[in-house]
Amino acid sequence: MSVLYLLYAFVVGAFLVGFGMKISARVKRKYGPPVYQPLMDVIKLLSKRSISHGLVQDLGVWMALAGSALLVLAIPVSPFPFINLDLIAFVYVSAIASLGVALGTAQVANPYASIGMARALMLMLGYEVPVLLTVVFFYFSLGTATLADLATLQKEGWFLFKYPLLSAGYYLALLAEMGKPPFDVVTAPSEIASGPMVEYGGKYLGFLVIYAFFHTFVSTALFAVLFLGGGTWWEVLLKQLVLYFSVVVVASSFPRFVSEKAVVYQWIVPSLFVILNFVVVAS
Amino acid sequence: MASGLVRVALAFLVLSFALLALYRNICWVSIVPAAFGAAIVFSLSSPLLLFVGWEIVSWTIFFSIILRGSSGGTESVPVVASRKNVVYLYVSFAALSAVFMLMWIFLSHFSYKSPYFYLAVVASVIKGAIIPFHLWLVPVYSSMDLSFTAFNSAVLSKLGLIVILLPLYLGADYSGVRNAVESFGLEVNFIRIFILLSSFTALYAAYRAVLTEDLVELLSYSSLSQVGYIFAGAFLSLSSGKDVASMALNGTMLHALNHALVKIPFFMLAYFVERKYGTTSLSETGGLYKKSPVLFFLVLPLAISLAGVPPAGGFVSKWLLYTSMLRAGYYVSFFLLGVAGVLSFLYVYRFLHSLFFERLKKDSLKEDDFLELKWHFLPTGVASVMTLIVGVKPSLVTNLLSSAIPEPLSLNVEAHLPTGSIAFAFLLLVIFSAFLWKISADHRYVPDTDNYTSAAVRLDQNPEISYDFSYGFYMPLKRPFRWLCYLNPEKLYDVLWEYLRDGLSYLRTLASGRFTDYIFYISIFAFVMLFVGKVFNTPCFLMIRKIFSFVGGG
Repeated sequence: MSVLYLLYAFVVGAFLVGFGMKISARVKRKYGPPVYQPLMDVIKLLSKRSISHGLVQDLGVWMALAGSALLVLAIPVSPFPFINLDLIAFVYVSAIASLGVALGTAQVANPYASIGMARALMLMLGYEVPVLLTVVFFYFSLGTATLADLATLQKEGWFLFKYPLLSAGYYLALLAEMGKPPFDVVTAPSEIASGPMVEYGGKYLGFLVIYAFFHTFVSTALFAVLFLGGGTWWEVLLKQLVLYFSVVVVASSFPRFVSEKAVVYQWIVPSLFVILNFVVVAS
Repeated sequence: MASGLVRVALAFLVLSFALLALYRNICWVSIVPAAFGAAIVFSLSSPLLLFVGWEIVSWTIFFSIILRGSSGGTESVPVVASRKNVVYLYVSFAALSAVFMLMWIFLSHFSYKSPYFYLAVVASVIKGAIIPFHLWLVPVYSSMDLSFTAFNSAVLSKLGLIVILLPLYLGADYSGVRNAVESFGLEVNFIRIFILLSSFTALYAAYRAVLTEDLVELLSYSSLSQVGYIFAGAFLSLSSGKDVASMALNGTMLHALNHALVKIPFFMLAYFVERKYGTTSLSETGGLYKKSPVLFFLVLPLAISLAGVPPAGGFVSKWLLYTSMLRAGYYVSFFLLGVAGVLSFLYVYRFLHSLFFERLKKDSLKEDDFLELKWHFLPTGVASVMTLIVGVKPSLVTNLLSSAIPEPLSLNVEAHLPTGSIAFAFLLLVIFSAFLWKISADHRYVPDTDNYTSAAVRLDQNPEISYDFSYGFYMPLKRPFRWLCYLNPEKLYDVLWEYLRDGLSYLRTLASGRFTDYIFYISIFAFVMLFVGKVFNTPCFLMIRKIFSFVGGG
C-alpha cells in the first residue's frame, strides 16, 4: 500500500504541476502546455544522457528524492498507511530533502548554485518562524500537534474557519515553502539561472522534477490535513486542487521579493496573523 | 541512583578521552590534568572535592592558553597581548564562579542538602557560559590548542550540567533555585528565568555562528548554542511533572552525548586545517573532499546530527527537548530553541561547503600533509556510527543510561517517536532512488570546473581565479537582524563598565587619607548590613557574620 501511495502522490503531483502551468499560462493569456506535460518531461529527462560533477551530486539527488517520498508517507490520507509524526518531527524530516539538494549543489563549483542555496537556506529561516508559531498555537489551544490528531479534531469544523488568521499565516508561509512568487528568489531564473538547479541536466534534472512533484503533493496535502480536515484520498485531492489553484493565481500576480525582504516579510506578516489568532483564542 | 549517574558520567569521560586519543598530535599536557579534574567533579564525592576538581580544570585552561603561545616566542606582540586578555577574561569568570561555589560550600557545611544550593547553580550557569556569562567561551576556545578545545567542548562544558542535576540524584535542596529571594519578600521562579536565558543563549550563539567568517568561531558558537539546549533541558527536568521531566532529562542526556560525538571530530578537523592551511578563515579553506572523499562521508552523519536532521541522533534529542518544552508550557523558550535549530542547519551547511567543496585558490600543500587525515577515519567513523545508533534505536542508548536516570523518569523514546520506521523507510527509498538512477540513461563525470559559468573564465586553465561564492555567505541576514545588535549581551558589559567607572571615580574622591573618615564609612556599612531590612539571612551577611565571629574568636 505504501508503494501505491507513492505512485498516487507522484501522479497527483505531476498533474498538479501541469494544472498549475496551464492556469499560469491562462492568467497571462497564453494557451499553455497540456496538463500531462510534466510527466512527458520526466520521461524525456530520465532517458537523456547527462553529466555529473561527482558522487556527492549523485547522493544529493537520491537524498532529495528519498526525503520527499518519505514526507509523502508521513501525510495521513485515508486509506493509505502513514508514519505517525507530529508537526515538529515533520519539519525536521522535510530537511532531509533540502539537505540532499544542498549537498548536490555544494559539489558543483558554480557560484550561481551556491548563491541559490544560500538564498534557499535564508528563506527557510523566514518561513519556519510562522510554522514554529503554528506548532505553538496547536499545543496551546489543542494540546497536540500530531498530524493525525489534528485531522481528527476537525470533524466538527475545519480550522480554516475556526482559526482563519492562523490559516492565512500558514498559507503565506506555504507560498515561501513551495518557492512560488513572490518568494521564488531561490531559483530566480533571470538572475541566477535557476540557482541550485543550474548544473542539473538529464536524469539529474529528472530526479529534481520528481522531487518537485512530491514536494507539491506534500505541501498541498499538509495544508489540507492541517486546516481543511484531511479525509479520504479523493477529498484531499479536491482540496489540493482548489488550494493549488489559489497558489498559482497568487504566484502569477506578484513580482519577486529580494531575499532579505522575503525573509523579513515571512517574519512579520504571517507571524503577525498567527499571533493575532493567539490573542483571539486567549481572550 | 547517584552511583549510576557517577558511572555514566565517568563512562562518558572515558569515551570522549578515548575518541580524542585516536588522533595524532593532541595536547596531552592539557587534556590529562583536565580529564583528572573532570573525573573528580563527575565522581560527586563531596562538595569540597567537587570544587577542587572544578578548579583543576580552570587552572588547566589558564595554563593551556598561556602555554600555547610559548613555543619559541615567534608570535607578534599584539597576538601575545590578546592572549593575555583572554586569560584575564577567563580568570574573571572563573573567579566569579569559584566565589559562588565557595559560598555554597562554606554556608552549607560541605553538604549537598542545604538551602544554599542555588549558589552552586549560579556557579554552574557561569561555567556553562549561559548569557550573560558567555563572553569568555569563544575567545578561550580560539586561544587554546584546538585538540584541547575539542575536549573542552565535549566534556568540560558539561561540568555545570552535572551540578544542576544534583537535586534529582542527591536530594539537593533546589527550593532556593526556584525562589532565591524569599527573604526579600519576592517570588521569582528562577528556573523559568534560567530556561529562558539558556534558550536565548542557544539562539544568539547560533545566529553568531551563521554570520562568522572563521571556522573556529563557527564551531565555538555552535558549542555555546548546544550548551544552551542542554542547560534548558536540565532546568526543565527539575521543574516539571513526571512526563515532561522524563522527556527533558532523556533529551538532555542524549543531546550531551550527541554534542560530544560531533564536536570532537569537528574540532580535530579544524585543528588539521589550522596547521596545514595556516588559516581558519572559511573563505580560504576548501578542497578537503578531493583530498579525502572518505572523510566527507564519515563527517556527513555528524553534520546531520548537529543540524538535528533524521536519521541522526541530534534529531531525537532535539525533538525530546522541543516536545517537553511545549508540554510544560514554555512556549517562548520552545520558539527560541526552534529558531536556533533552523539556524544550526544554516551554519552546518556553511561548514560542509567551506571545508570540503570550496576550491582552494592555491593548492601548495603536499600529498604527505594529507596522510594525517587518515588518522581521522577511525574516531570519526566510530562517532558517526554511534550518532546513527542514537538516531535509529535510541532505546539502546537510553537503556545504557538507565542506571543514571531515576526509575520514574525513564522513557521509551520509540513509543513517542517512530525513529526506526523513519530510518528504515528512508533507507529503502534511497536504495530505490539509486536503483532508478542506475537504470536511467547513462552519465559521465566531469571536473567541477567544467560548469555553466566556467567558459567565461576558463577555470581549468586559471585555477587561481577566485570564482566561488564563499565570502559573506549569509550576509543578507545581517541587515534584517541588525536590531539584534541592540540586544547584544556584550553591550551590557560596556554599560556596566561605564557605570562602574563613573562610580569608582566617585569612590576615588572618598579616599581622603584621613583615618576618621574611613572609620565613619565602615560604621555606615556595618549599620546597613546589620540593621536594615531583611538582609539577615542573605549569604553575604552570613559570610560577614562568620568572618566577624572568626576574627572575634566567638
